[in-house]
Amino acid sequence: MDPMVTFIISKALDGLSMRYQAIAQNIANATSPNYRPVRVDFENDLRRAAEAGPDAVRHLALTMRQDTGHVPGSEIRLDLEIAEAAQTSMRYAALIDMLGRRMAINRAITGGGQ
Amino acid sequence: MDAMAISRTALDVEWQRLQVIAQNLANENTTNAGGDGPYRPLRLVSGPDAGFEQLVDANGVQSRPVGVRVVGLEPLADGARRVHDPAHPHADADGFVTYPNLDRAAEMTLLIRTSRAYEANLTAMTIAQQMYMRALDLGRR
Repeated sequence: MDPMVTFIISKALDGLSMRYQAIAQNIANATSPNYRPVRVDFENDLRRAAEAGPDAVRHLALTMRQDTGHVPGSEIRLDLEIAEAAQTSMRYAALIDMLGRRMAINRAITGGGQ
Repeated sequence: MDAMAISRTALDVEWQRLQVIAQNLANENTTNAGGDGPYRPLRLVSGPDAGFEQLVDANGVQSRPVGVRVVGLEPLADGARRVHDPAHPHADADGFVTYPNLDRAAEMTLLIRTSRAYEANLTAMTIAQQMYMRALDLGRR
């Protein structure tokens, strides 16, 4: 079976986990004056790396950056951050599920289908 | 630092902010705090645990958020409220008693905001916990 899918899923899980850390940081600092929120965007980079090959996916560096679209001094929208957190969690769960299914298939293969 | 630890730092900070607000409201009529004048309302100041620049590694790609921390406890420059009450034991020579000038509406507004922030961090922590639980389920089928 193509190991590429496992690499992509693993990297995406890392990315979502880092995004969740960024959201947690933003919510934690919702009352900090002049705080600039942080974001994690990895989907486009991961898509490009997936086209380049497995090594590109494995060595893809995930980055956290400050939100340039945030107006300085404006409030952190807690509702939007929580919505983002829920979405990140759902995607994470979906990927875990896919990885679990692949592992189940691998188990079936190594077990000779018994 | 993982997401749950980040949310935990915020729960701690917001809890302390609630305590300071409660302290301010409780001492609204304290005329003599420790012998040197009326109670001074306090405001808890918090901020990110470290500057973003400090969190960026030498290679400039990895960064780790570390939550929020209490920066300090500052007295509010609200002045004082003077009430004419010569019978009061803390009245001055002119018969005036000095009370802290507490902005009650501001305290209540901050109380609600703090409570909302606390709830949001609790929710973030719960969602993080769900994510970890899902990860633990990996390969269990």
